Amino acid sequence: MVFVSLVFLFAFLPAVLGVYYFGRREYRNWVLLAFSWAFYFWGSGKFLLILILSTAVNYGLGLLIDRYKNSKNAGYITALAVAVNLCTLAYFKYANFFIGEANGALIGMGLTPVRWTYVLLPIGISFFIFHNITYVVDVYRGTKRAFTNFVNFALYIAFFPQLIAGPIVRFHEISDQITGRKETLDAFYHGVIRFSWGVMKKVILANSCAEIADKIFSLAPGMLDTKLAWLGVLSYTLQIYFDFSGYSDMAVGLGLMFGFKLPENFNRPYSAVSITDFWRRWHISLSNFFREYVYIPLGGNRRGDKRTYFNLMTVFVLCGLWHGANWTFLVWGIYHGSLLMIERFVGLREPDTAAYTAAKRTLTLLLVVVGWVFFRAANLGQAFDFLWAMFIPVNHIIPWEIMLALNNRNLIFFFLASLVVFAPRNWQGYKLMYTEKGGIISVLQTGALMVVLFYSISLVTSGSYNPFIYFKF
Amino acid sequence: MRKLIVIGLFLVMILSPLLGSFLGIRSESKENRALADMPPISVGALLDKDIYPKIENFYNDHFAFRGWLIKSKNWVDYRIFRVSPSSQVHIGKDGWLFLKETIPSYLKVECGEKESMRTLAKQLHDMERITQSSGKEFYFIVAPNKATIYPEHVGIERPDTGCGKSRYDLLLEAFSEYPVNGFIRLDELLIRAKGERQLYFKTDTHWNGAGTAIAAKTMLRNISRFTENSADTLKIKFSHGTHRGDLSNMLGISMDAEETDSSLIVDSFGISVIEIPLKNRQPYLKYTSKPPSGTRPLPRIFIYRDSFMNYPLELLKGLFEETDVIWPFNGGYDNIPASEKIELEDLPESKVVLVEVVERYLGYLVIDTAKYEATLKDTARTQILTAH
Repeated sequence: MVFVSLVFLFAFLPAVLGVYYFGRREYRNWVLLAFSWAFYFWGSGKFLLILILSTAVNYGLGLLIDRYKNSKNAGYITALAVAVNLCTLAYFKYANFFIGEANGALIGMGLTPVRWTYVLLPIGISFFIFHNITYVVDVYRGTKRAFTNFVNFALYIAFFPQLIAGPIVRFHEISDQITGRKETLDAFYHGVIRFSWGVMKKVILANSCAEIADKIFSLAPGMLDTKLAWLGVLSYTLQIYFDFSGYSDMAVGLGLMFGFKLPENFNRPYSAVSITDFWRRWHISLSNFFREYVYIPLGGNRRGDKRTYFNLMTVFVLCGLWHGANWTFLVWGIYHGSLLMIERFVGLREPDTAAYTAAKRTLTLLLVVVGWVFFRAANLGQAFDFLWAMFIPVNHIIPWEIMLALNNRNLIFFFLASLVVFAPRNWQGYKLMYTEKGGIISVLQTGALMVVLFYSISLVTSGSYNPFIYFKF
Repeated sequence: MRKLIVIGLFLVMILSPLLGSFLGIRSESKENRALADMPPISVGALLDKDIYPKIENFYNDHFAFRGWLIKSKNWVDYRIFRVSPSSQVHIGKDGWLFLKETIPSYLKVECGEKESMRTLAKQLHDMERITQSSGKEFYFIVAPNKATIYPEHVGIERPDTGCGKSRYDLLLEAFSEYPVNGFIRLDELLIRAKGERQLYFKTDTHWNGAGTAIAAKTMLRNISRFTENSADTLKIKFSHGTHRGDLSNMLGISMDAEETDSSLIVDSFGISVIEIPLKNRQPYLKYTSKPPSGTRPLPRIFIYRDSFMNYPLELLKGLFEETDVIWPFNGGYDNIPASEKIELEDLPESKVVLVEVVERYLGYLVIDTAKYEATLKDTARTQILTAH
């Protein structure tokens, strides 16, 4: 089940809101947990058992860490907990990839490949495993006590707004809210606006850009020329931002509806003035996780330059692999790690003039766009073909399938989406809807929000619209 | 106050379909397909994750206000953005609609089909030979795509590069190697005639009454025994009314009275029809006519056809002593023979065999000449009747 589906919008969400608010307050966490597990089961079936098992194991380990926290054993148990979680993630997410690559090498050497049964990937495993890790480490560090109440802990792991696609909520950011939050009208109102804003970003802006990007990325290399390559990667640049940030807006909005304040995940990343700045604005929760649980434990920047570079590259190799089991993600991670190392070596200066800011923003965006080629491409070969077409000028006629994708609607929304690149650095679009001006402006704000939400829902509905010229039985 | 209104409107929006379902409100969208069924529910089924996508498909197809939401979105797409709400319909110039499937033919980028068109030409050539060796006449027509006759309305520039050939062009080339003498060419005639009168519907894939009249008269002029009833004396009258085309139906919005129709009125002189249901749900049609005394009907004809023959049949069905019509569509292809029992009875009795296919389905016409020969010579029927 995804947020922008009819079953979620018209069945699941009304049901969970209804049962949550009309039920007894002391059972609200139970209600959220039950619905969260149902949400997961709907999309993943028996993999729910893996989620529950992983939750139970980490719950037990967390209690043990808390119990032995004044002894060395706490450290050993924490290390064990982290190892168990990482092994679980490695098995489900990377085993197929590494066995596949190893078998390819073995066959190339004339040897017998390893027999292997393909492992299915549980949805959201990257997120709930990281939540487990933040939990055991925060308990070990003494930042927070372990939850003795299993329902509370299970809710932290499985809370449906964040379960499938984040944000990655560190335990210490949310533990107090699980046990003692207050649902207010104000929070619910802000939740409705953020959720609606997210739906609009995903369904209208991201999907329109996706239509263009998908068509261009599916062209044969011989049909791809410079203008289409740039159009394709720029479309994808906008698609991935609006898709991901839209989903995060929906997650934050849903959290607010239940009284939770989830952390922000995006802060105008395409306004960044450096790659360092970009990673403070893009997928912020992931950056925070890697900084707090990988970079700083490795020593951060406190052990000299060489160690700092090593730590940076380690973080970004892991970051790349976290996104997916493919060489393209690894290269993307190494690319960003290298850029950060270069920035560190060269030394960053805060831009002090408008012209300098504009130049730095342009350069940073260009570097980010190049990185997205690796992220989007199916394999390294396609990525390099794409980059070649981008930078070695060649001109072909635009294929008719691309012409059809460049229709009025997609072009208008592509243009509106691209404005995000030019808007002020700390401007947040959804705040347009929050800010109450009164009078006619208020009416227009409400009207605009409802019209946009209605149009977004009609777009979701038309996903099932599939007419045939002759009757299809 | 504003906060309450926003929250209230949001809740109304997400609760309305649920309330609508309880109140039995249905708002459907005509899509020419069977909507998803609710899968059987049991404890065992609920433990299987494969059931949930099926439940979701059912919900997506049946929830209250669905049709209304789709119409709203389609209206915005078509009326405001001038974008086709259907992935299968292309909006050309001046309100002309085209099936997207026909665009590659229009662009003449189908050189990859050369071998398949050569195979089809050979099959038609052999089919003609087999038919004629049985003492019957054979005719083959290709109903042109609308974009072939009206390329100026498509609104997409044809590339200078590319092979410059459509499937139909390749079939015509292949006829030089495997000639089909009974091939009745319609595209050139229609292109010449379009200046006088519109021949295809703007919002439909098919030819209109005027186009049908030209196609039917051309077929009749070519059928060699048509000596006494001249095609030119075919009594056709045109009446005008509105037409809602199959393409506009696929756009999912109200487009009533979008164009007028020159529909045909013909004298039917006592035609009776029998409809026999077939496995592919396209009924087999058997027309018999009682022409007025003094006129001699044309000999019995067997027609393999698709939807483009619907309109010409209105003209032709009364002219033959019997007209047997089958749409041999099965498993995504037009298969000749269709392997239907009624075909085994009627085909050997006919004196004329006509094959009609629309240009866009040339790649889906499959002729099993050995089976056809067996069907024609009654061998297959004898085997089946003996087996029973």
